[in-house]
Amino acid sequence: MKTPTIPSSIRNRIFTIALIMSVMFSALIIKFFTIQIIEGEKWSQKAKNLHEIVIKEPFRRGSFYSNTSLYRRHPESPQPLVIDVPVFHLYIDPASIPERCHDDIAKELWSFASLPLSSREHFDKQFTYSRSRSRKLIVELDKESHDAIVTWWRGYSRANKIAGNAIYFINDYQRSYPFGSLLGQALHTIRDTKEEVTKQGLPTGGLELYFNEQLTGTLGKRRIIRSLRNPIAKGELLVAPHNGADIYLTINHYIQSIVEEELAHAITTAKAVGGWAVMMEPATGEIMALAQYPFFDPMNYHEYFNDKDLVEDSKIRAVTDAYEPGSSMKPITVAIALQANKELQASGKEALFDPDEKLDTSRGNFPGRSRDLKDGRVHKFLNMYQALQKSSNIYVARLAQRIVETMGDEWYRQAIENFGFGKKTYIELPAEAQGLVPTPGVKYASGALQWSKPTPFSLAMGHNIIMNSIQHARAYCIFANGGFLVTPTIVKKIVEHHDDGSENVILENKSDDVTVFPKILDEDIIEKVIKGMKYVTKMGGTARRADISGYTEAGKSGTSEKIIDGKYSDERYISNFIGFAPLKNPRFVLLVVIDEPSRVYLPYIGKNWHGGTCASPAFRNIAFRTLEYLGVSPDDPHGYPVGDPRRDAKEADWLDEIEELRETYKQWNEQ
Amino acid sequence: MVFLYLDSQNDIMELRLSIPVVTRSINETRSKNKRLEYEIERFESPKNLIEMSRKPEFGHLSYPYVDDIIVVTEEEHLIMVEES
Repeated sequence: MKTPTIPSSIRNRIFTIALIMSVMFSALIIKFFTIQIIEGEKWSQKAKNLHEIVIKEPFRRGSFYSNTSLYRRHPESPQPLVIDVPVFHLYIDPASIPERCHDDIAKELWSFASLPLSSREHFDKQFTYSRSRSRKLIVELDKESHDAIVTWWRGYSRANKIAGNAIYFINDYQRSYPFGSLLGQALHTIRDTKEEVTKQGLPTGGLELYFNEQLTGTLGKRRIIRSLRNPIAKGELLVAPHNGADIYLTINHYIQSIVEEELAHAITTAKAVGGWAVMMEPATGEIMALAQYPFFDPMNYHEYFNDKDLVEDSKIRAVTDAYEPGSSMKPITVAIALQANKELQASGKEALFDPDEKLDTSRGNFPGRSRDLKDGRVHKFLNMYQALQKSSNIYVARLAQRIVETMGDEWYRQAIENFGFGKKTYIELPAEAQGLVPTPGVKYASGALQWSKPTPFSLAMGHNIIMNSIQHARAYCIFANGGFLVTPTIVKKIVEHHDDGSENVILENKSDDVTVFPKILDEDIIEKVIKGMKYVTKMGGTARRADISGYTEAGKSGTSEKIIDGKYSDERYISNFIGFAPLKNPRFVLLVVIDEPSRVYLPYIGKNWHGGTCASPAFRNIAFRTLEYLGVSPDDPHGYPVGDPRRDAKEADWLDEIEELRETYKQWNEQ
Repeated sequence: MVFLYLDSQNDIMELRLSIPVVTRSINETRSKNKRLEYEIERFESPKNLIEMSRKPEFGHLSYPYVDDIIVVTEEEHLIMVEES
C-alpha cells in the first residue's frame, strides 16, 4: 500500500504553524522568565502591595510612678501616676469600598465618632479618595466602640461582599491619668496628634518633655493581609516594638494630694490669684510634693493651651517663676552674720555681734537709703531671737551693715551665693529660673547698678534678690539637715522593663548619705538660727498660725511686693511661709507660696496679705497631715492649741523659753 | 511505634495551631487588665480615699505611728511559731 503523500503546500503550512507556535511558546517562556526571574522581585512586591500593608506597631511610652517608700515599715508596691490605656484608631481602605456603600458606612461610623458636626463633611470626604488604600477616620476609640464596630462590620461586609479589612484598626495607647489633675503641672502630657514622620508623641511640657528621650521607645512593624478571609486581621509582627523606660519619682501621690487640697483651700480663703507649695526631704533633696493651684488637668490640655490666661496654669511656677522671698530671707542673713562672727573670732578679731546682745532697733536710717526702714511696730531693742520672732527689718539690716563694713560687699555676696541662690539647681524640670543675686559693679539691662550702697540692707530682709522655690526650699534644707547644700531631685530611678520580665536600671539617685553634699554651715550656727525660728510660730511670733499641734516646728514667713512693669506694687504681694518639722530629725522642709492674696485686714487675725496670715495655716495643715500619714509620733504631745484637752502649757516644748524671751522684751521695750 | 509517633505529631500540631488563638486571648486579657487597672486606680485615687476617710463609718480608723509597728520577718515568725 502506498503511503499517501502530503502535498508540499500543506507541509509548508504545518511547518509554518509549528514554527509560529514554537516562536510564540518561546516568547511565552521568555516572558515567564522575565516576569518570574528577572522582574520577579518587582512583581512580588506589587502583589504584596495589593494584598498586604505594613503598619507601624506602637510602643508603650514609659510611665511615671509615685514614691511609695516614704511610708516606712509599710509594704511598697508600684503606684502608677500615668497609665497608657489601649485605644484604637479606625482606618478605611477607600479603594476596597464600593461607592454605593459610602453613605451607609459613613453614617454608621459617624455615630462612633465624638466629632463636632462641622467635621462631618471632612469625614465623608475620606471615602472619596478612591485611589487611597488608607485614610484615618476616627482616633482613640475605646474597646467597647471597637467591638461594636467589628460586630456591625462583620455582618455588613459579608452582606455587601466587601473585603473584611476595608476598614481596620491600628492599636495605640492613650495617656490616661487615674488621679486626674494630681501633679498635673509637673507631669504634663503628650499631644493627641503625633509627629508626622517619626509617629512619636509630642510632649506638652513638664516631665514628659524633660524625659522625652527616655520615655520614648521605638516603633515596631506589623504586616496586615487584605482579603475577604482576613477580616480586620491582626497580622504578623515583623519587628517587635521597644517600650520606653519607666520613671520612678520622689513624689508621693498621697502627700501630693494632701498638699494640693490644703493649698487650694488656703488660696481660696486668701482670695488669691494662685499659689504653689514645695515639700523637700532635707537630707536627700528629694521633692516629696510639688503642688500648684489652679490645677492643670493633662487630659484637657487643649483648654489650657488655647487660652492665654489658662496657659499660665500649665507652667510649674515653683521652678519657672523667681520672686523676692521677703522676710523668709532673715534666718539666712542671721546665719551669715554668725558665720562672719566665726571667721572673725578664728582670726583673733572681735565678733560682729552676740545673738543675746541688746541691739538698738528704734531707728531705721541706713546709709544710701532715701527712706528709713520700718518694722511692723516699733521695737526699741531686740536680740537675735526676738528679731526673728518679730521679723525685724531694722535688726537684720543692722547685721548686714556690720557684715559689709567688716567683711566687705564681695564676702557678703559670696556668703549668700553659698546658699545656692543665683544658680540653677538643675532639678529635672524644664525652664528653671536662675534667680539673681546682685553683683557689685554689674549693671541691670536698664543701666542701673545691681549693687549700690543700700543693697545689703535690702538683701538682709529678702529684697533685691530673686529666687525660685526650689532654691528657696533647698536653702532651708541646710538648716534642717545639719548644714549641707543638697542637690534637689524629683527622680528616684529610671528603669527599662523588658517583655521577658528583666529590667535595666538606666539611672538611680542614691542620695541617702547627706554628707556627700557640700557643707555650708556648722551645727552651732544652725542651732542658734533654729532656736530663733522656733519662736516665730509661738506666742509673740509673726506666724502663730503655723504652729503644728503636737509637733515641734521651725519656720519663717515672708511677704514681698510684686514687681509689675519694673516697679514695686503696693497692691499686689507674693507671700510665703517656709519651715520644717519635727525639729529633731526633720522629715521635710515645706514652702507655701501664695500669689496675690487679697489686700484686706482680717479682724483678730491681721493683714491677709502677710505670709504669716495667709500661707502659714496651709503650712500647719499640710505638715500635720503629712506627719500623721508618715506615722511620725508627736514630739510635743502637750503643745496643742488653747481649748484642746491635750494642751498642757507647762509641759509644752516651748513655754519656758517663750516666757524668758517675753520677759526680756518687756524689760527692754516697755520700761 | 509509628502510630505513637503520629499521635505525638498530631498533638504537637494541635498545640501549634492553638498558639495564635491563645496569643490573641492573652493580648486581649492584657488590654482588659490595663483598662481595669485604670478604673481601679481612679477609684482608689488619694482624693477619693481622703474623702472616704472623712465619712463617719471610717472615723475609727487612724494612721499608726511607725514606732508602734512591729515588723516580723519570716524567719522570726517561724522561730515564734516553733517556740509556741
